Amino acid sequence: MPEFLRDVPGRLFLAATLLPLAAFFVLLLAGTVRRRFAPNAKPSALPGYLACAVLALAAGCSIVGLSWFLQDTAAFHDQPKTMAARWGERVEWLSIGGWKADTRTARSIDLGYRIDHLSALMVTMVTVVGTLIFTFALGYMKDERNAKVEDHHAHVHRHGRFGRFYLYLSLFAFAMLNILIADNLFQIFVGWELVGVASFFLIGFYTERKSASTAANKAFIVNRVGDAGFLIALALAWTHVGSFNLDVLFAKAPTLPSEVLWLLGLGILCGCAGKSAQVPLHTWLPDAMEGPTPVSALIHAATMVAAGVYLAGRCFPLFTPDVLLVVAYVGAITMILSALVAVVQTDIKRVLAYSTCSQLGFMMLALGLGAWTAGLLHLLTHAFFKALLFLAAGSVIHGLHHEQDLAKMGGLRKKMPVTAYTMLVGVLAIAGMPLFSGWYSKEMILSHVVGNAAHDGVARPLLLALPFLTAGLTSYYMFRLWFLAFAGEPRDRHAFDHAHESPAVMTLPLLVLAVFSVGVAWGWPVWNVEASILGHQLHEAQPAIVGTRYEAIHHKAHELHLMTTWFALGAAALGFGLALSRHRAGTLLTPGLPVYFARLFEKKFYFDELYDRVLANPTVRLARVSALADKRNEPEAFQIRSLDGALNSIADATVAAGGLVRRLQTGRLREYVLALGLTLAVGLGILFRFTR
Amino acid sequence: MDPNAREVDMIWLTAQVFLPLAVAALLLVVPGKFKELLRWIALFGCAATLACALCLWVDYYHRVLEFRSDRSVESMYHPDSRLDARVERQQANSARPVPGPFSSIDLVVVRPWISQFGVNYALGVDGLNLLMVILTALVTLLAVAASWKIDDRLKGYLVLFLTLESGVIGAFLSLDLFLFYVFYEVMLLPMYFLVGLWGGGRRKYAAIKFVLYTLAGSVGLLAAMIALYTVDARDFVDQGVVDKQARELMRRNRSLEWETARGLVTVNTFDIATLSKVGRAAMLVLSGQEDRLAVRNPGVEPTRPLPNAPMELFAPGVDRDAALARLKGSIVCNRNFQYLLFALLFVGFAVKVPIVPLHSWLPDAHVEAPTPVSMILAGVLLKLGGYGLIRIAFPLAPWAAAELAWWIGLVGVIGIVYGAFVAMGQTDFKKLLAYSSVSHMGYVILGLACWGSAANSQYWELGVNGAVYQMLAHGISASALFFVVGVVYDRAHHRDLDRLGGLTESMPVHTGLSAILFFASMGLPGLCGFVGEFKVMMAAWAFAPALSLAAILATVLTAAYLLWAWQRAYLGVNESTRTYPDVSPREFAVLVPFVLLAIALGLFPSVLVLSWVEPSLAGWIDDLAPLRP
Repeated sequence: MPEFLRDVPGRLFLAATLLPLAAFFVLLLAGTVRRRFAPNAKPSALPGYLACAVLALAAGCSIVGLSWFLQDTAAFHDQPKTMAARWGERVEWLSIGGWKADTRTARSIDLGYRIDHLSALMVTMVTVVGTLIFTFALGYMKDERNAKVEDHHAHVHRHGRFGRFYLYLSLFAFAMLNILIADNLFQIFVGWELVGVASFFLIGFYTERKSASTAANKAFIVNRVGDAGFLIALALAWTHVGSFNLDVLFAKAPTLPSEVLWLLGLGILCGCAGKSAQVPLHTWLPDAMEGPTPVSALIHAATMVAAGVYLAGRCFPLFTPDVLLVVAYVGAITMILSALVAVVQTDIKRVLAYSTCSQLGFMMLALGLGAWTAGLLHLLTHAFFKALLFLAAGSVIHGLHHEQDLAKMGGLRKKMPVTAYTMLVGVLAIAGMPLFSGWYSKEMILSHVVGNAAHDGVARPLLLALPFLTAGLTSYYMFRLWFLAFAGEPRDRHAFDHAHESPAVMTLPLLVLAVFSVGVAWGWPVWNVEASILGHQLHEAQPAIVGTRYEAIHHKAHELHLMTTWFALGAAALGFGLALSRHRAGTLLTPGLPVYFARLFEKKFYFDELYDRVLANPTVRLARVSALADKRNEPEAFQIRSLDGALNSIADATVAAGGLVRRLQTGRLREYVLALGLTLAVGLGILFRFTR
Repeated sequence: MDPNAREVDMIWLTAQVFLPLAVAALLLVVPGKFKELLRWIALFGCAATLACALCLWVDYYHRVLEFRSDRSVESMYHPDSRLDARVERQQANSARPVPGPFSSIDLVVVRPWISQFGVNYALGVDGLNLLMVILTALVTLLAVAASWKIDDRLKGYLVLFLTLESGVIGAFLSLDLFLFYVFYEVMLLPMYFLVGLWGGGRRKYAAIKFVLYTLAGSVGLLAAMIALYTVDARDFVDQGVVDKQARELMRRNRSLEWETARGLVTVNTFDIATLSKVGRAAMLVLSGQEDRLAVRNPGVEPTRPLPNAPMELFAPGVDRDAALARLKGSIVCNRNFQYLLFALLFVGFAVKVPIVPLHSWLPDAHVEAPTPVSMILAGVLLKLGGYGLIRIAFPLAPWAAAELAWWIGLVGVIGIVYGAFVAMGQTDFKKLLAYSSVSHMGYVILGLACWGSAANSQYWELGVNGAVYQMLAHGISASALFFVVGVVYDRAHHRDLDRLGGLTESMPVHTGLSAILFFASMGLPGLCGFVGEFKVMMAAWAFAPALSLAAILATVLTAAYLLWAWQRAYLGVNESTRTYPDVSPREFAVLVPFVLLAIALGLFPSVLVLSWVEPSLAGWIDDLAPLRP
């Protein structure tokens, strides 16, 4: 055992975080050097292998770390101080003022990490899923290793960008892990912005496509709106608590004025909503599908978008009941709106994108209602099966030579069996099929929903009805997707004929993820949701406040558990039945709804149009107007339509005055004598007037 | 001690200021046809200046900061090592009947220059101005390297460039208002010619505009300077000075008694440290805290300045009551005088920062100036404004600054928001960057303005800290971005964002390096722009949540206009840019240091910069913050 790990094994997680950063810097340096000195060389495969190996190493570190951590919790369960010292460290990044006697707060910003069950599990999940997706991308992005690549959308030839892809991915991995291990809000914010920028570069990876770069801008800017909320929360914490460290914040939170705490919670929620694509900041996520599919799988499904839920879970003790109610409603609205939109989408990735939004809303709802463990368990299980679904979609897209339209698929299970059946596993998991991982987490959330309703006497019926409705819809649109892609007869013969199963480097990650998607939440007995091992471990990290505040609800939930199970299964079965019958009838692609509803869903509830009208366009117009109000190119004098012109008018006036005065200097002697005489007369007059 | 040891400071500081001028003089005697030689001499001259600045930095670090350690303070924060303490010692030593002993570890030099008017040749180093000097030397070096393509009247160009550098460094290092003013004006002229002779199509207009705006500002400075000179500072300078003048009076007029002669003495000075004490004392009187005014008691261990504790502003040996009576009778204790003084100083420096609405010289100057001059303008000259506010405007008129703090903050926020909006509306790449400078420098003003209560002075300190860091970060990122535009301009011969695009494919290295600089400018964590902005936003909330809120929301606008510019300039497909060559080795060599600094300063702000800058800022805060009740 290396020396530096013996006393502080938490450094394993630190190493897992910093390894991708090292890979990032190596790739950055190597890429710059290569582009500088051999601009036209064929991209080498090395960056991909390096990044994969590094992330696999990080995964190894975190798996070792996780098991070590679990042993430690057993060994030191009565010594919280030892645990804290072994699994967390903190250094000062920046400090203010030099007097030792000065004990005021708000004088230092720290960096540090703190490992608990939640972060250990999350880090492991991210590195494992990340490694699988990195590996998948070796196959998916193979084209980028050619010296010349044809972009089918922008219709140009360009250099391959294999290394750059892994450069961004490594940066992303570092930033994401940094969020997870951080023990303070500042560091989380740093990671927050960095995942944002990595996501920006990856969404806009195909820089030639206008749609891609616009989507990237949209993602970054919408996220910045969320981040502004986060910054407000940080400023409040800094002003009223004087520290960003979470332990200090949790300790001081009960003493804060309620409106401060309220605003703090809303600010954090705003950051979470931006990152986790919750209404009203959700519009960027579907557009983000412009990025390569492995990116969609890793960033826009499994990990980054989950960061918002993670943060909400992490900062749970800072949320007042009011804020939690907002969280619940935001989650519920996102969940149902996205599910409805997903029902009518025909782009395979967009269906999955909206499904991600919807599932994230589901998690937010769970957190808002106090189902802390259930919400975060869903986050973990969702990461596996959603990564699986996206990668399978990527495999389909790869096999069909970049065809994403469900209308042109069909019958593909004959051509690509591995993809088809692994994806089926994912579909079953997300639909909540018993014994699949999704079932455990969904079940826990739904029983909490029922328990909550029973506890407050169905005071908020929406929070009871929407989750079940969404469960049914989820089952419907996921089976719809699978039927459209893999079952029935091929609708586009040409595409079908050229379709092929993906190479092993892509199917292997699918298989591994399928295994995880089935069994990651298992416990003994397998049919008992509450026996889930993962759930138990997460429960260890649950903030104490959850247990006390929601005890009654937990109790009710437990009582009504069986009923919930039947209702949930019923909803899912209904969705499946509908999908199956419409598949048999061949009407999956025709909207079965009144036309204005279908239109509303297809237009995604007009959010984009609304934001363009109300926010984006007026801002740009205001910017143009300000630019004109500031300065115009006007050579003539006295143009006071702009600020610059108005200030220039002062100069113009001076010049004009100079011109006037110049006329007095006529150069004619008699006029000077006249002026002299007049001045003398006036002067003498004044003199006499005042001396009298 | 070696009696000549005191000359060392004098030599070093003088060399730091005048080395570029000496190189300029050398260039004058080299025949103009040896162009390559001229360039290399200028480059080496700038490198030598940078080396000199780094030597000074090592000196400062080891001999000033590390020299004193104490149990009551974290190491390097000892109050004795602060600039005003060192100046005070130097003055006390020179005022003795037999001047001395001088210690050479002070990095302060005070010599009579025009002794009839009490003007001194006073230079001194602390963390703040040393940082600015290093930034200046670095940016100038890289700007000279960026000037390689300038062929037209090269000799004159380089001479002016180096003269400019001397002026800027001199202004940064001056501790005497008069000297400062001289350097401030010295710097103006080369800039005028650099824009006016080597600029673009409307260069004359831009040059004259630059000069008029700056002159308008410096007129304010001149007026304030003269007004301050009329103030009697006899109770704030070392009493040796008073005795000396009294003896002089008695020598001229033998009938005078010693006490009468002493009473007749008035001391007028341009010394910034002394005038700052006058300003602070006036603030105490004006805010009804005159009982806190105390006589300095030398030899007492310094302690943390507490709110409402006595402030030892009168020089040792002064009769407190008489001094207080004199002070209250003086014009400095007039509210209107203080307001006017601060307004003159603030406007004088704010033109340079620039603030809205006095910013409109900046876009014109940038658009017309050649690339290297733009780099200097954005990287260095704007910092003089911020530096002047910190070094001169706030300490000399603290009462008005504290009274107007909220309004100053508002000015900063208006700059941030307005600059961002106008930048978004631009189609000219360089103009966009010029307005982004307006926006970014707004954070400097906002950070300085967060003057809250004395008990919570740490927030203001964070704000000032952030303001200084923002100046540094902006100096790096803005001058680098102007170079980036220059690189594009050299290929495209226009700067219209709508006609650019597709540079990713043809200029991948350039794109990669620019991306880092764009995001540094946007304030992405891990890059230099973030540190300053973040600190300012955090500090401002404690001072005025509304101002901070506006600054926070403006980050969305910043991201929007920079990303939009990024998309238009670099992304997409554009046939006309497909054949552009990637960066040349020379361009690469200029860009890489900027990029490395942008990353390093973002990751390790404390280790690289704040560890030695912060003690000076802490001293500044310790002087000013307790003044507020």
